[in-house]
Formats: sequence, structure tokens, C-alpha cells
Amino acid sequence: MQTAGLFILGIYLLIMVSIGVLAARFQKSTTDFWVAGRGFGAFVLAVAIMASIMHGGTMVGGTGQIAAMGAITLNNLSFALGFLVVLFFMAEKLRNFGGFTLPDFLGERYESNSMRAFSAFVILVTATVSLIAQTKSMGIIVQNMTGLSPEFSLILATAIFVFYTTIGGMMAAVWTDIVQWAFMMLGVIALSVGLLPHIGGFSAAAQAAEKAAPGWTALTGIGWTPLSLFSWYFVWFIAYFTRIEFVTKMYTARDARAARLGTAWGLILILLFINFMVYFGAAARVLIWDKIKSPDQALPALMATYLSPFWAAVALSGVAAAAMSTVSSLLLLSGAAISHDFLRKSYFEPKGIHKSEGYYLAISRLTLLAVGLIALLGAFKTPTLVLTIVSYAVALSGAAFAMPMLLGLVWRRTSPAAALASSIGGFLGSAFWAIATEMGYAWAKVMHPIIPGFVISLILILTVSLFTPPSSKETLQKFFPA
Amino acid sequence: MLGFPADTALILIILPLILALFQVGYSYWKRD
Repeated sequence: MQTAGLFILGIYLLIMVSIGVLAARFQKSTTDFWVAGRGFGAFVLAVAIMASIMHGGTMVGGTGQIAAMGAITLNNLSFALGFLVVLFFMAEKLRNFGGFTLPDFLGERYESNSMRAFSAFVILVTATVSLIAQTKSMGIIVQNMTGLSPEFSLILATAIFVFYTTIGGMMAAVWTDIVQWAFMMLGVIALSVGLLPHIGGFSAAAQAAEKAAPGWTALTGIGWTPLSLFSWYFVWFIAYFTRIEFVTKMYTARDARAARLGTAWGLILILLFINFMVYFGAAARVLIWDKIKSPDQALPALMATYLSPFWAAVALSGVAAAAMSTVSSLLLLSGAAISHDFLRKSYFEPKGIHKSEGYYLAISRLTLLAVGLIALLGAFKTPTLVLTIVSYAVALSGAAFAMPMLLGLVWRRTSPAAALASSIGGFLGSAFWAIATEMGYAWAKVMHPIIPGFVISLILILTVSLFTPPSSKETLQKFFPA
Repeated sequence: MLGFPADTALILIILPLILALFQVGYSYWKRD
């Protein structure tokens, strides 16, 4: 497998570097760099959304968890509902607003630099820790695929994505997403074809899994209670419409129609892709469940056992591609939070210091390079704190952004003071609950930290809005035309 | 059906798919 792995990695590397170099030629301004000149059509957008949301961990962890806890663990419904929120309430307005980042939108909608800075802070924390964790797992996948040393695998893989993202910006990240998506699809199809003779089709696999583990196909799965299952779906529903790498892609659409279509087709691509995980989960449960030590080994073990060395390398390169398409998006988020939201919008421009586009472009690239280096160092020697925060990153950003984002676009009355209180309150509520969970309090384990954070945020935004003045007429005109 | 009991298949596959197709239809139908 390792010769084949090296060969595939070589081809892959060549494609990524060429795309980076090509995209770099289009980078004339920060609009080119952060939102790719706002030129993407619906199909490109759909693929980019799918590839940045699906990461290597979703495939590996998802398959293992489905194998362990039953088919219902796959929360397709949360995806569908989360995308519905984006499509109905956010896609068009975010595109027409036309900022670069989520803090851009929150800062303008609520006429507040504190809101802008606070949201940039939340993004910086959550995106950077996720970036470190994802970079680390990407290194492990490349190592398995090629047999190179762990250090070299990590450095090589990081060098590739930092290179193309730094020189080509959003455009390179999205173009590479398309190639990475092709690798991902090829990988899951290769594994499915390999498994077919051993477990049969979708239906046969599910029935065999039910026989091996009674309850596997049931509505309540294995080890779920109705409440835990409901909150699992609810958590991911909130998480999907607040995924920053998803909503900021709306800015890159050619027009509002492309933003809407990209979202809808992105959902179809995601459903198409992740239903393979149910099939793999069933196969893992039946074929190799006794032979593996942890659920996370389910997917790699299936590939190693049922595919020829060459096809196992192809399938693994799909996982590596999924990891890389996500890290390039996360790198852009962290970099934009520092160089665009903090430096430009919260420091230089409020102080009236004028800098050229060329200056900001250079700063953006330097920032990405620096964040990429931090990700590499963090992946080599990961502080325990980083891994702990990663498992709550979705809760922290979900609770901080769900209400200010959504209500800001659907309810004119949402006031600046309420949005800030709601965002900070939601973030702190989630963080408090997460800390309590980590400290081992039994009451904290009853629900996911996003739920208390979300409830606090909801109460604050509704009540504070009633007692504080709304945004100015001019601002509201921008977000609620006609 | 699909090897699943109907209620699981409904929540896992059919309902999300209907919602997804609706979203695609809506995006084409809505004019600027």
C-alpha cells in the first residue's frame, strides 16, 4: 500500500501546488484573497461547502460511532434542517451584504466594534484549536498512507495546504476543494465496491448489522435514550447553521441566486456522501467489530482488510483529502480573524490609519503563514487544553453566534446591546457547562454544553432587545430592504 | 425497506432527502 500511497500523494501534491500557483496569479486585492473576487457559481460553491464541512474526523469517527451506536447516529435530519435555515434566512442577505468575514456582518449589523472584536476572538479560538487537531489527524492519515515517518508526514501535509492557501487565498482553497471532493468520492466508492462481495448491498448490510447487534437499525439505536438522541440532533442542527466555514462561503457567491443554489446542492452532496458512512458502519459492525480495539479503527481496518493495497491507498487518500479541505478553510478563518477583523477593522481603520490593498494583502499572507506554523507546532506537541477545547468548539461558536446571526437577519428589532449580551452570555454559558463537564460533575453530563449556552443566549437576546434601542435606520435598510 | 425499520429510515434518509429536494426546488423557483 505504501508505494501506491506515495505515488498517489505525489500526484495529489502536484495538483495542489499547481492550483495554488495558478490561483496566486489572480490575487490583486483583499477581495480576491478572502472571498475569491465573489465569482463562484452554484456548483463550485456546493462542492466547497461540502468539502469544508466534511473532515477526516467525520469519516473516521462517524463510521466508528455509527458502528457502535446504530444507524440513527447519523444526523442527516440535522444537516437538512440546518441548511434550511441558511437557505431561507441567511444565504441571500449575507451575499448581498458582501463582507469578508462573520465579524464583518455582526459588526455592521450591530454597529459595534466590540461585537466585531468579540466574534473575531471566538472564531480565532475555536478555528485555531480545530485547525491544530485536524492538522494532527491529517498527519496521521498521510503517515498510514505512505509509511513515511510521522514527523515528515505531518510537515509535508502541512506544507502543502499552508502553501496553496497562503499564496492563493480563498480561490485556491475552493479550487483544491473540488479536487479533494473527487478524491473523497473516489475513496468511498472504492471501499464500497470492495465491501460489496463480503456484506452485500445497503439493505443486506443493515440487516446483518441488526442480527449482529440487536437494535442497530432501530429508531433508538444502541445506548441512546430518546432525550439523548433528541439533544444529539439538536446540537448538530445548531452547529450546522453556525459553521463559520459554511456561512462565510456565502460571500464568495457570484450572486444571491448562486448562494441559494450552492447551499441546496451542497446539502444534496453531503447527504450523498455521508450515507456511505451508514453502510461502512454496518459493515464494520458485522465484519471486524471483534478485531478492533476502538471505534475509530473501524474505517481504517475495513480499508486495510477488504481492499487491495492500491485501492486501500486510494480510499485513504480520500480521508486525507477530506482532512485537507477542512484545514485550508480553518486556516483562512483564523487568518482573517487576525489580519482583517482585528488588525484592519478594529485597529487601523477606526484610528484613521490608511494602508494600501497591497499592504493588507501582504499582511494577510504573512498571517496565514504564521497561523500555519502555529498549527504545525501545535500538531507536533499538542497541549491537552487544545484537545479539550476542540471537543467543545462547536458548542462555543454555536452558542455565541446562532442567535445574533439568525435574529439579526430576521428580526429588525434585535438591538446591538442585546446581540452582544447574547453572544457573550451564550459563549460563557457553554464554556461554564463544558468546564463543569470536564470537572466530572454528574449534573453537567445531562446535556451538551451548547444547550444551556443556547438557552441563555436566546433569553438574553429577546429580553435585552425589548429594553434597548435598535440599530439605526440606515443600517436596518441595508439588511431589510423594502 | 432499505434494511431499516420504517421509522428509522424515515428520519435517517427519507425526510432529509425530501427536505433537500425541496431546497433545491425552492432555490430554482425563487427569482431575484
